[in-house]
Amino acid sequence: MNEPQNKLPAANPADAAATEQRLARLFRRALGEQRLHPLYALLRRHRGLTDALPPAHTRPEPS
Amino acid sequence: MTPDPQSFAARLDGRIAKLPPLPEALRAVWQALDKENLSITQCVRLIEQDSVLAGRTLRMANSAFYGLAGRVARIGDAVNLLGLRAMGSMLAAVSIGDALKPAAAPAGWSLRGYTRHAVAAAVAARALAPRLGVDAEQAFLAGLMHDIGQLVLVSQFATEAAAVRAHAQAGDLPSHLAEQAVLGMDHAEIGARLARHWRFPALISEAMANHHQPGGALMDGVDGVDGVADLTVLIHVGDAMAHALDLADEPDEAVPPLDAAAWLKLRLDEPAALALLARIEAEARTMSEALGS
Repeated sequence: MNEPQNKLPAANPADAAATEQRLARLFRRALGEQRLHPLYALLRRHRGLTDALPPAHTRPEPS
Repeated sequence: MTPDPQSFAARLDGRIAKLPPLPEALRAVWQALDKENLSITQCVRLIEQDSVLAGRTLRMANSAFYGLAGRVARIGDAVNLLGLRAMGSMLAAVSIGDALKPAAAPAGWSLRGYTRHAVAAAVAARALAPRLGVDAEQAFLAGLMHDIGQLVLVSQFATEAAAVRAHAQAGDLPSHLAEQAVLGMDHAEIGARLARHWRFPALISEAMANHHQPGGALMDGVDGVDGVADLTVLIHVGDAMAHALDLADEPDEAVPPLDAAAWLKLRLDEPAALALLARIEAEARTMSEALGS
């Protein structure tokens, strides 16, 4: 079985960046409005990221 | 090629009518799931008479998930261990997966990813069920089945499935929107048509039909079936949670929009939601491994 891509809480800055990136990819269809998706903030907490949401400019543009 | 939606609907119904019936033992187990009177002894006998179902049952009971590897040798013991209703759901999933195994999946779609997502959505729906007073095993079965229309599409309509996939990838669209654009109906409706043909409990087939538009089932008693609204909410939210937890292990995974009314109906505060996410993630991974996916 493949290794999960982002299953562990972020333990260091590199992991946190990778986790942040994967979450942005997962929620990309929220079109830059992930804050409005009830699961986005919960998943950030679940993955061990800080409470603060990433700055708007780091969020993905609509594709 | 863009398939003609009208001819697709007619061909779908024709193809579904030609699919083999579900194993008799599975139908019997489902009757038990639907709370009709059926003895465990009778179910055990029916399963014992179907070598494929018997083998599957023992494999599940002996999987690492239940910690009894190699120690369950009789169907009756397996039923006692797993519970008749939980076992019925799992058998349904693997039997239908066997019946609809695609010869060649379209690029970017995998049976493994499909199965892992179905298990995760089922686990999520079951975990959420007590919040709405819904029967947990019925929620589990509905979660396992909710995307079965995708399996119908890739196994029975390879050309159409490829066209849908191409349309979805071109616009990074959710599969159900690409299916509606290309075929005139989405996998939720396709799956519900199959479920009605196979005489799933009506509550489950109608919740499957509405899982991308839970607002369509907000009026309880839709199509004369009580409880559809609550079960639809569980499948809709469980599906979103499964996608958000990334449990299918697919690079193109994306979280679908969440219906606000459905989410609020569950009254989940943050601690409760976080505890559920942790539990769903752990259970879904373990169960996927037990099923070999």
